[in-house]
Amino acid sequence: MSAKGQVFSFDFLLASSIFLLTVGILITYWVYTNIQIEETREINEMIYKSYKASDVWFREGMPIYWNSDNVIELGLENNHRFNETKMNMTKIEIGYDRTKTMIGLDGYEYNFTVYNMTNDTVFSFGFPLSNPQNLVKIKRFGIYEGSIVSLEIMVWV
Amino acid sequence: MKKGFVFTMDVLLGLSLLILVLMSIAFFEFESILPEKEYEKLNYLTNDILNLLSYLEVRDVQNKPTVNKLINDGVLTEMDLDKSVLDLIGSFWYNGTADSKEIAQNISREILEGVTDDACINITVDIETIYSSCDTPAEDVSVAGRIETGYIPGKPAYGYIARAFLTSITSKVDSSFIYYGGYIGEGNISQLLYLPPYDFILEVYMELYVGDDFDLYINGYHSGNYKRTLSNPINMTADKWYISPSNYTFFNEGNNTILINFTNKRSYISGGYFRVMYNTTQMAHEETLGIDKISLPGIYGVINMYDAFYVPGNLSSMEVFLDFTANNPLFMNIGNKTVYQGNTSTLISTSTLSALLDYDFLSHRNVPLRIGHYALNNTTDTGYVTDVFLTTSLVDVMNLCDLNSTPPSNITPDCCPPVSSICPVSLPDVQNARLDLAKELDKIFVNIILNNTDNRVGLVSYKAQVNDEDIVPLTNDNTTLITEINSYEAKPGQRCLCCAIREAKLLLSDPSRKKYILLMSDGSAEKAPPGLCPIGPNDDFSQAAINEACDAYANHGIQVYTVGFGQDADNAVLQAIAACGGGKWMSSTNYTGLEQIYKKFAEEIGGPSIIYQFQTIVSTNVNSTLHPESYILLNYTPDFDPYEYGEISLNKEGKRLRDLSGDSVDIPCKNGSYYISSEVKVVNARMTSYSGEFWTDRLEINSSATGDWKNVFWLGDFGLNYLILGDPYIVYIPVELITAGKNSVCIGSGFNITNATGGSPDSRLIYTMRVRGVVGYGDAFNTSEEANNDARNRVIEKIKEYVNVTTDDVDIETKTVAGIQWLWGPSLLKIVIWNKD
Repeated sequence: MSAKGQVFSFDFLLASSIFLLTVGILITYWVYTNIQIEETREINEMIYKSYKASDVWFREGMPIYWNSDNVIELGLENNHRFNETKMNMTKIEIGYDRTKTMIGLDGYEYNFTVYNMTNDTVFSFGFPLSNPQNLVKIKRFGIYEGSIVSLEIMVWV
Repeated sequence: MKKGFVFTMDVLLGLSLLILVLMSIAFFEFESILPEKEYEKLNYLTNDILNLLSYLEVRDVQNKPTVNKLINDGVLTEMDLDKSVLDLIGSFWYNGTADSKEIAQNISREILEGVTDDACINITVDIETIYSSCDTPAEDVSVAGRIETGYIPGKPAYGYIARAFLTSITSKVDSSFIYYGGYIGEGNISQLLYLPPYDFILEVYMELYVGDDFDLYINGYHSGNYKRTLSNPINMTADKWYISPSNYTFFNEGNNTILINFTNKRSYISGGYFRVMYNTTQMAHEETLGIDKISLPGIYGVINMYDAFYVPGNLSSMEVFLDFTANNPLFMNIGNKTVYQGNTSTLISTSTLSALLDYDFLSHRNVPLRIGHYALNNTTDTGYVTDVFLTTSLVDVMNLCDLNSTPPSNITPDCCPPVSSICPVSLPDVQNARLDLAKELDKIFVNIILNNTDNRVGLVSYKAQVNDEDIVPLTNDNTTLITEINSYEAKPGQRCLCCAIREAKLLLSDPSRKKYILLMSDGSAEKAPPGLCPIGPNDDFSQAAINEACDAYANHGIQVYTVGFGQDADNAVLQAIAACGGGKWMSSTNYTGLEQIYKKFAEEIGGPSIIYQFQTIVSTNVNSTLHPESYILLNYTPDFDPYEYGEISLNKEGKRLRDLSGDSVDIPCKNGSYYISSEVKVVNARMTSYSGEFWTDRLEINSSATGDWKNVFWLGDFGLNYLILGDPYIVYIPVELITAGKNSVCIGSGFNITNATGGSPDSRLIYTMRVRGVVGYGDAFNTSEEANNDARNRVIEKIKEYVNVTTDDVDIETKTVAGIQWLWGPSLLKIVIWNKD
C-alpha cells in the first residue's frame, strides 16, 4: 500500500512537473508569438509608411514651388531631381515634427540620409538613431545635383 | 530495480516531449517580415532604376568613360547632352552595329555598377539584353517597363528649322497660244495673241490645217509666206512651221495681232494654233478668276465659223458682242440655239441669252459655237464626195432570160426563156439575159453617180471569188468603167456575196468621203471562202455576207445598199445585209423596176453631200467681216482655286498622239496617254483635234479619277444634226479628272451621232500647270544658317525642273525648336531586378 502510494506520489510529482513545465513553455511561447505578431504587424506598417514617406523625395509637392507658409503637400523634387532648396526648407523651416505629420510618420521617429555613390553623406535630416524598439530601414535611388544618390530612410519607434 | 527502470523511462519520455516542444518552437521561429514586403522592396528598386535612366541626362554622366569618349570623339554633341540616358542607350542599341551595341552596354554598366550590391540589374529591349549586372539565378523578379522612342546621337534635340518660299524667279520658259477653231473662214483671219512681260523670244511655231498658202503678218509686219503641204483631210494632219527668228522683233508685250493672209483665194483654217515660246521672269500667269473674255477672230471675206468655247465652272451670266459688217444676214448658234440673226452688229445681253440658253446645261461644258450666213449653208453646188463600189454577179445563171419586162430600147433582145431556145426577134416576149440587163443598169448607175464630178465609182464583179482582174478601183473615169462593164461575161461558178462586199470594203478607205457599196444579187449566197469570210460553224454563207456588211458599216462607215435582181434573189438575206449595213434594200423581177431602183439609189448615193460641203463653201456674192473686237464674255464660279503664294504657272505641250499611238487615223477615236507629275497641279487641260471636214464630237478620258473611260465631251449632247453645230478645235478636259500619273485620252470625230470618222494623229494635250515654290519645315539644325540653306536647297531642288532660280529668289522663315525626337523604336525597354541571394 505504502510502497504503491510512494511510487504513485513520486510518479505523479514527476509527471506533474513535466506537464507544468510543458504548459509553461507553451504559455511562454504563446505570449512570445503574440508579441512577435504584433511587432511584425507594426514593422510591416512601418515599412509601408516608410515607403510612403520616402515618396516625398520623388514628388514635387503642392504647390510645386511651395514654401513653409503655403505648403499643402510636401515634395522635395523638381524635374525628377532632389531639390536642395526644398530639402533645406524642410529641414530648417518646416522642421522635424511638422514634416513628420506631413509625411505620415506620426508616432515614429525618422531620419533621411542621402549618400552619394561613394557613400559620403550629402544630406541628412531627422533624429539620430537611438535605442530603437523597432527599426525599418529602406533604400531608394534618386538624382541629386546630377548624380545618382541613394536615399536611406530609417523609421523607428 | 524494476521501479528504478520505470522511473527512468518516465523521465526519459517526459524529457523527450519537452525537447520535442522546444525544437518545434525553434523550428517554427516566427518570420518577422512578410514575403510581399520583400517583393515590394524589389519593385521600388526597379522603378527607381528605371526612373534614374529615364531622367538622368547625358550631361549628368558625361564623366563616365564611354560617354566622355563619345563626346571627345564628336559622336555626341552639345545637343545630345540633354537627352536621357535611356534614350542614349536605346539609340545606340538600335543603331544595330556591334560597336554601337557595345557602347550601349558600356554606358549601362558604367552608370549602374555600384548602385546596389544586393540585387542584379538587367536591361532588355524587346527580347534582347542590353546589359546584365550579374548572372545569379533569379527567383523573385521585379520588372518595370517603358515604351520608348528616342533621340538619335548627332541629331539635335533643339535647334533651328526653316521653310522656304519662292518670291521670284530668275527665268522660266513659258508659252502663249492662240487657237483657231474647227473651221474659221473664209478669207483672211486675224487673232490677238497676248504676251506677258518677257525677256526674249525663244521660238515661234505654227501648226495649222489651212485651205491654201498664206502670208503671215505679225503686228502688220510681213513675216513670211507659208505653203500648204501637209494639211490633209484624209490623214487629219496639219502643216507645221517654225517662224524665222528674224521676225521675233515684231512681237510686243501685250496684245499682238497675228494675221493670216491667204495668197490665192479666200480660204480657211480648219484647226490649229500659234505658239510663242519665251523666257520670262513672271512667276504666274495673269488671270481674272471667274471671268473669261473670249475674243473672236477677225474674219475678212465671208464669215463662216465652226468653233467652241469652254465654260470652266458654273455659268452665272454671259454677254456676246458681235461686231461685223455683212451684206447678208448673219446668224450665231450657241449649242444648238440660235441666239442671233440679223444684219447689224449687236450686243446680246445676259438677259436675252439666259432666256434662250440653259446656263446649268452649259456649265462645265465645251459649247459648240457656229457663226455664218444661211445663204451659204443652203448652197448645194459643191461637196460631191461619194465613193461607191458597184458589184455585179457573173455566175452563169446571169445568162438566164427570165426578167419579165420590155427590154431597153437600146439593146437587142437576144434570148427568150428558156435559155436553151433561141426565139425569133419578132416575138413579143423576146427578152434579154440577166447579164445584159445588169450591164445596162450598171451603166445607168455609173453615169448618174459620175454626173457629179467629185464622185468616184469602183467595180467589183464576183463569182465564187473576186480576183484582181474583177476589180476596177475607184475612179471618175466614165470610159474605163463602161468598158469594163461591157466586158462582163457570165461563167460557171457560185455566188460569193461576202467576197464582193469584202473586196469593196477594203478599197473604200478614205475617211473624208461618203462610202457606199451597191450589192446586186440574182440568187442566194453559195460560197464564202473560210480564210476571207468567217462563215461560222454551220457553213452559213448568207450569214457571212451579213457579217461582212455589218463590219463595213460599223467599223468603216460604209453603207451597203442591196438589190434583189430577179425572181431567184434571196431577198431575206439581202434585206438583212442592208439592215446591218446601214443601207437600203429593194428588189424587182422586171427590168423596169430594176431600172427605177438603180436610178433611185444612184441619185441618193451620189447626190449632193451636204454634210461635207459646209467646210468648203464656195461663196458667191457674199462679203462679210467679223471684226476682232467681237467677244463672248462669261461669268462663272470657277472650278479651280486662285493662285497660292509661291506658285508658278506654266503652259506645256504634250506629245502628239502619233508619237503615242502611231500615225493612223483611228476609229472611233485616237488615243494616247500622258503622265502628270505629282509635283504639279493641272489647272487647265485641252486636247487639240484636227477633225478635217468632220466635227470633233467626242473626247474620253481614263485616269485614276475616273477609274475607267469617261466621256467628257459628246457633241451629240447638243443635237443630232451636226450641221447647225460648231466644231471645236480644242476640247477642254475638266481638271478634276486629270490626276498625277497616267491619264489616257481618246479624241474622235464624226459627221453625225451614228458615225465615227476617227481622231487625228496630230492631236495633242496642251495644259496649264502650277508648281508650288514652297517647302515646309525640314530637319532641325544646330544653326539657323544650316536650316536656311537646307530649306533653300529643298525648294530649289523641287522646282529646278520647271524654272531657273537662285538663292536670291527664295524667302526663308526660320524657327527655333526644342524637344525634337528622332524616332527609334517604339520599343519596350525593361528593367529586370532580382535579389542576388
